[in-house]
Amino acid sequence: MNRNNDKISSFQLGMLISITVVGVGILTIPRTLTEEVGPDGWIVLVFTVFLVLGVGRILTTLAGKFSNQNIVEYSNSLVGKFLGTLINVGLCIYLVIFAAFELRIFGEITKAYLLFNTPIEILMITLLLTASYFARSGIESIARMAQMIFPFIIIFAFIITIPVLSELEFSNLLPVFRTPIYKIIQVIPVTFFSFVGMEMIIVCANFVVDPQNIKKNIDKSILMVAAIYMFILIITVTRFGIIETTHIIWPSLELFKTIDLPGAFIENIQIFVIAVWIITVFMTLVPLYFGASLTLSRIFKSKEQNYLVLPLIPLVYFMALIPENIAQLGDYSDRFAYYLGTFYMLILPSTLLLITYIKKKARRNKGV
Amino acid sequence: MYKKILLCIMSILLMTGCWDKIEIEKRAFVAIVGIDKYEEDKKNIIETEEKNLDQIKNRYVVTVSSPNTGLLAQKGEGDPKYVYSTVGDNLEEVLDELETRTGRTLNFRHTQAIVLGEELAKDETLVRESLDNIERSPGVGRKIYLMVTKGKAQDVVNAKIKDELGTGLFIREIMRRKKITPKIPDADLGYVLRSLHESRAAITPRMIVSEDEIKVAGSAVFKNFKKIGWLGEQETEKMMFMLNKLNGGILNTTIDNIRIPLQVTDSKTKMKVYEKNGQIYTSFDIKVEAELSQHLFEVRNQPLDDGYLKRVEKIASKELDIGIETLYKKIQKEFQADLVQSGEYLRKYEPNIWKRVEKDWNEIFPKTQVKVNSEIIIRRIGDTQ
Repeated sequence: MNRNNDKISSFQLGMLISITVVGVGILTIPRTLTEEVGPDGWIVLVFTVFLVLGVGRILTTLAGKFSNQNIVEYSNSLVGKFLGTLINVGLCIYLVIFAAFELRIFGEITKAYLLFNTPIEILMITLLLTASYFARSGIESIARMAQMIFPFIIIFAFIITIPVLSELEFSNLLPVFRTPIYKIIQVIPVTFFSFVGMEMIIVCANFVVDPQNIKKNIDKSILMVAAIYMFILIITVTRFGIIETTHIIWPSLELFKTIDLPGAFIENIQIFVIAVWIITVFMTLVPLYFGASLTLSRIFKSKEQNYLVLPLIPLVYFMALIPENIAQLGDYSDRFAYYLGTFYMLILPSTLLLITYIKKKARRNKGV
Repeated sequence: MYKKILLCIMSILLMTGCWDKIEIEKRAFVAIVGIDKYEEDKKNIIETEEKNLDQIKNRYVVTVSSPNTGLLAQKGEGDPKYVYSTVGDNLEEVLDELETRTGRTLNFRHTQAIVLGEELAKDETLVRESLDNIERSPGVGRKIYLMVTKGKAQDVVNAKIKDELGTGLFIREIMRRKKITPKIPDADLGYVLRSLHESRAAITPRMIVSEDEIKVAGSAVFKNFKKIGWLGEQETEKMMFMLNKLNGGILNTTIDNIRIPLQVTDSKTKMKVYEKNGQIYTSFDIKVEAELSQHLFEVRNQPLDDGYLKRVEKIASKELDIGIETLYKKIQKEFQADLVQSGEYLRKYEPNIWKRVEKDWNEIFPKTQVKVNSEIIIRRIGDTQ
């Protein structure tokens, strides 16, 4: 596996993580936050960022301890073969389910906004086949693509919102600090799950050539994602007001229905926004898919990961088709993020880190 | 060799065709939609067996018009627009029916206005159904206009306007002028939806149609999702003052029997809602900059005198104060609709008061007091003194 092209820089890892995290969460974050705490959503987001930075630290420290090993290898050595395999098979399934969710939401939105008559299955298969082709080509091309696309998306998102700026009502953020503090703490998990995808750090960290810079770059990418979320949240709430933000399923997309470009030679800017969003969701899907095939290949102790991509296609595809409608999809994805997301993002990495410290201490005690 | 064959076989997969491909001639770009309540015309009903079997209950009459795109490109010929109208139980059904009848796919991405007939606007259920349908459909933008017409929406869509291509395009041109004249309220669909969500009251532009002319002036007042009244042109102007959406217009005033129109160039309104001695007050601080654009021929030394201008300013602003107060009382007493969104203001700026009054705001709002304090400044007086 240690071919030349399987090396990425820590900066590329940061970009990869950013683009994996910004996927589907960005569409719903204004609604879920406003539903819970009204105009104080941005405060919750600020608190969440600190929490996520902490989680990022746990993940990067763990990855830094085993910079030459994949999660599959070191988890086996830390918790034993049986438990390790269980965890890793779980991780693979987790990534597959995650990819399936992204795929389904992509299908739903494309069908709702762009292609009304095309069957959703065809939409999903098209994206899935493209993603699988990409996932076969290995970490380096994925990281390079992320590095290219992420700045483009940020600039595009910013430019396209300029026409809205004149119509924002900043008084919609009032009154501030009216939410009791326990309520804010209660809501933090909701936002926290908009950051799922971070566990890709431990999956991909061993490809990094300069492990000493990982922490810095991950911090940067978390802050960048948080800034994007904050930007979208504030623009959406100030444009729609609190009540309407909670009423719309995808407020971030609806935002672009309110744009009337001066000159008006382009009337429906929303289509461009969705086109760009499809690129982001594609770039979320690919790393997850790649991660799943990589974990699987390590479980089988195989050197290559790319032949394992194809067998995963039907798995992802059929899982994506399980939810009957969009309401059920929301339910499932909430529950998925709540249990599995917490486990793989927070519980597993911190436990593994704790075991590392204990083992180290035990070894030192033996040495003395 | 087998690779080449495989490639050929796989490329068949790419040739399955496009589900969403619609030729441009097969699209009807709907410029304007008129929605009316269906009223049974007893004479025309023919009791057929089919009708009894279907048990269709017609509730809507929808009229759409799409421009003749060929004519717009100066290539085709024929009527400048196509108008279709049909009836049905709900909007989706009617639109389906229209697509079947025209053989074209209706496309709402370039729609300029949705016009509701007066009878429909008075019916709460139908208005709520229509609003939900409009808000829910991904194709309809929020920058279009929702209007109410006196009479039937069908007549608006059907109207043949002098030297204009289509009603929809014409409405767009009119609405662009809202920046100049405040008699057309600055209220697009986004505002209407937001305001109805927030305070259950909103105004929409009113449309008046005659034989060969369409006029947008004044506004319709919605409260609890149905039309409960009209605001005239002058009242709409005052309303725009209260909502801080005024960008132009003319204020008329009389001084020493001389009628003076003041052209508004800039206006800013600050609304405040506060509580004093257990009474809720709404106050408007209005700052207007204006130009004196007409005086009386051969009356010398008046406009070029600061003292005189001050007097004009004072009288004009007093008239404005009274006008706005009267309108505020009208919307309190006659409509009981919180059109100025003072409840929303309380929720944002005075959450403590709002908590107390939120439940019976409908009863409290008509009892609030109003204070208007406007200041008109005349900046320019034109070429002569």
